[in-house]
Amino acid sequence: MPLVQQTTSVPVSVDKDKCIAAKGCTVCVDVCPLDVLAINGVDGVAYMRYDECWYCMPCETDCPTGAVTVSIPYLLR
Amino acid sequence: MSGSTAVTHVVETDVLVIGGGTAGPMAAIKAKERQPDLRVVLMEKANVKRSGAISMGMDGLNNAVIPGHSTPEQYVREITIANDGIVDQGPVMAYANRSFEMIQYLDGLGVKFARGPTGDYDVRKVHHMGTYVLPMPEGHNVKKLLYRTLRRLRVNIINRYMATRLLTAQEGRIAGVIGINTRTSEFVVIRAKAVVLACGAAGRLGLPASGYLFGTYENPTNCGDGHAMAFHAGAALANLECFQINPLIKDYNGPACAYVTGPLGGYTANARGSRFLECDYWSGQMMLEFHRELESGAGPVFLKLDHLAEETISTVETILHTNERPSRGRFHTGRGTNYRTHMVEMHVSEIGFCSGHSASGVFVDEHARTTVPGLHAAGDLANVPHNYMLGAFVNGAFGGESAADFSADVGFGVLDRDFIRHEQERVLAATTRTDGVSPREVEYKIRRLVNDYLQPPKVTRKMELALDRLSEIRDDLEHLVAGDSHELMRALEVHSILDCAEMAARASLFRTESRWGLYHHRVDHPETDNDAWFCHSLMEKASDGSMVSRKQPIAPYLFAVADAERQSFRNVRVRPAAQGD
Amino acid sequence: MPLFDEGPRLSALLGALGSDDVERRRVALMELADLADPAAEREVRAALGDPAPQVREAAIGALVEINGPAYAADFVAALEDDAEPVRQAAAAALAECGATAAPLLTGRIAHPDALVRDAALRALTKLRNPHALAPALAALAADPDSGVRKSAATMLGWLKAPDAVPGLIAACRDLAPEVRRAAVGALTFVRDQRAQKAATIALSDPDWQVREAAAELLGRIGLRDALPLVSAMGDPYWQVRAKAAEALGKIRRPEAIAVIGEALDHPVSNLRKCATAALGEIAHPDALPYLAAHRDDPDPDVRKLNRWAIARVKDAEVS
Repeated sequence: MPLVQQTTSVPVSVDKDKCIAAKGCTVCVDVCPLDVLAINGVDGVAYMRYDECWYCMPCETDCPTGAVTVSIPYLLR
Repeated sequence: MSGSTAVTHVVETDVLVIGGGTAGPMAAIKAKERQPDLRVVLMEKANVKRSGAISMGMDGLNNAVIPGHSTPEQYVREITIANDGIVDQGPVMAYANRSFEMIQYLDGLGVKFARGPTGDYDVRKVHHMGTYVLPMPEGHNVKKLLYRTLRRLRVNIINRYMATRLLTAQEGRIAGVIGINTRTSEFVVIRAKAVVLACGAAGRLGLPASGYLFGTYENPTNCGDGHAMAFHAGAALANLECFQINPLIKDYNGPACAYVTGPLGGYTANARGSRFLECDYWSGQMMLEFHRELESGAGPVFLKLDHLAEETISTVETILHTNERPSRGRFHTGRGTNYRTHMVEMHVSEIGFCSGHSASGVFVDEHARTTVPGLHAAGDLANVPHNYMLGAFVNGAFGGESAADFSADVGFGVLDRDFIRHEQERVLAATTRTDGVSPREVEYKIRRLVNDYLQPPKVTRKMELALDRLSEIRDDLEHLVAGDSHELMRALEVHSILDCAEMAARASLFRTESRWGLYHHRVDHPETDNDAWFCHSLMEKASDGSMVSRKQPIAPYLFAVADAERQSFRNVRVRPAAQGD
Repeated sequence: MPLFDEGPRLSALLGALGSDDVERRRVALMELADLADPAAEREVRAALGDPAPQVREAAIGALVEINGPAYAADFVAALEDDAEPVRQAAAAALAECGATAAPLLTGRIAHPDALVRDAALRALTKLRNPHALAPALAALAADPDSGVRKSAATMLGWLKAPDAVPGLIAACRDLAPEVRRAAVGALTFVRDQRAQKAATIALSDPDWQVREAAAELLGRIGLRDALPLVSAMGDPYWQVRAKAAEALGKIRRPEAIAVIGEALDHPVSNLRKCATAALGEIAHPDALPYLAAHRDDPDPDVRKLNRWAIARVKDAEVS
């Protein structure tokens, strides 16, 4: 069958002003058990790339600058 | 890409541990402590720093056998009864004998356990008879301490590589593993003299009530690929029909009651605020009562804390909202739920395979040895019942030590080149298509069918229908499309999820009786039949690749459990809640 | 085996320590913590003198991972840092250093910074270091910070030192309830009249958690004077009554049966449970009417204990 891309909300947000991924930091990407975070090649900021979050929070807890916020996925609220 | 041109790293090691969560790191640590010049590799699908069931720590030990509070014999009896007798007591006794030593070892690493005012362990009572609960109000740093220990011992860590198949040599013994990088799709072939498999529960089997694929009780990385790999390597898996089903907060995947709030005065209640369980300790019988209350006019079921004092509730919040499930506070805030004024709605979890809370998994002996020579298994994946975190550590230690000893006596098994080539083709197949179905869709469909047809109470005809539907989906695996390496990981996980779903259905059909309360409650075989079914059921791969089950006798008990004792316990548990409570 | 060769990563990180960019230096130290390679020791220790506090903090984190106890003296020096996050990190690092840090910490119980004093006490508590007795007693008596006094009381409980008893008894009258609670708990190791007297007074404490601790203490020291506990069965907090009932069960005083029996009608089942269990422990015929009247308690857990308690009373009658 043919395939399409669809819009979806994701629970992890990153504060661009605080994120230091451009300085080499990969903490949130490293600690995510589901490997759903990535660093944007354009602005050098971490973001949630796949809608597969367990809201377990190491990305938020371990972020050295407090840039990451995990909220509860919409389906669970 | 095709199998023959894929980048493949080749690694040789004495001991290979697959899975860097709880049991795996301890296996690697103990293998290295046993034999410091041994080469030990720890392979992990995520990153060992924050992987597995305890990625954010743990709020307590549920099965600590501590001198002065309980004895190994008492513990073995209790676990035997709690599992309706289907237990090889040897591995349980081995665990119980080493439990306290492991607590002290973890304490030495810096893990913080609750202490009373004079510094003694603050052990609490939750179980029916003994006292086994040791809280860890500051248990958030367990993974960090394990990781530090692995680094100091120079264990070689391979993160972000997903094992896809175990490799066996001609004579059936273990030879290593093949895996793939979840970001680059590079292969690794690891030749090992001995292997410890510690891939955790099969937690992506059922669909959570929320419908969110990743809102599972278990860390969703634990999708059952360990169970599937063990099966394909020829290992026997025991009692898979004894599902894990846990009481959880409705729509949120956090546990609630017995271990954290119980000792502080909280309990499970029905809609009237009345207790209806004899004991909040998780067991199949407890879940059956929970399920009945949920479905009755007295339901749904709640966690009740609103009778507790402010100071106690603050303590509960501090523990529950910082350790195992720290997003819980946000979930409650979002719904306006306050423990002080509201009871918290609860529900049953999706099904899974997890010996941490039940008795299913790869069949092992007291040295964590599986039925495949050189292959060990530990943690939620192996069948030592009611393992919990401490069991994962202790059995991981047994596995690591036994693997170290095994590797000292043997050379490497000869690799089967054809098998590796075929496996590389199987793995990469989804990347060769541009048209088909996504891993997410196939996974959703399998797990929705698991809920429809396999979630207890179990019905024979429904489970047969499940097998029909699942076999149709097996054909769909040939149409999976993976757009990148990450999706390829998910596509491969779908293979494992399907294998586990089929094993769950077949194992449940095999045991034509009811046992373990809700875990294996068969509506059309409602009685427990000790004459025919006082035995393990073992599932193995037949020579034609199909799943076959057989009965395996229970090893002679070390401690006899009188019928009366078993029956009295059961009567207490099954006694229905008094009407009008 | 290229998968495990971390040499290139190490040299890149050491290079990044020389960057002009504060965040790059900090990130490099976080990575060096992950690597935990002793070969980076010199450069990481040098970073303790970095102008940026977040870099100094990250350097402490890296040293902890490389080999914490070996750098206890560095951490003690960092306790004097201008930036509080660095002092916090140093205190946390010292708490993980074990016995090597003990002599360095004992002298810090009188440090001008309350954070340091508290960290020193907490780290020494685990070590049960007898040299810490005198400074801890001094802190318990006179430290202006209630958190420090609480940590001092806790440490004295762990030490189980007879010399600490007068100080702990005095602390049962501390102005801060958390200190009184810790002091009452710490007396658990004492088995004589002095602890009984202190606990009896604490049963009238304005804070219910102190009263709860006092009831628990009386159960643990196991002296046979039931009177204070009988009065505690009239406490306005059911939590205190539950502990008092447990304690009365442990010392098995039949004269307490009537007050315990009254608790069987309380709406909170946790209290009914403790009271029922206590009557079973006491195992005296006088308890039978109370137990018989509550056979049909709405809580199954209480009913189970009721059956057990009645059986115990009957067994006691027979023998």
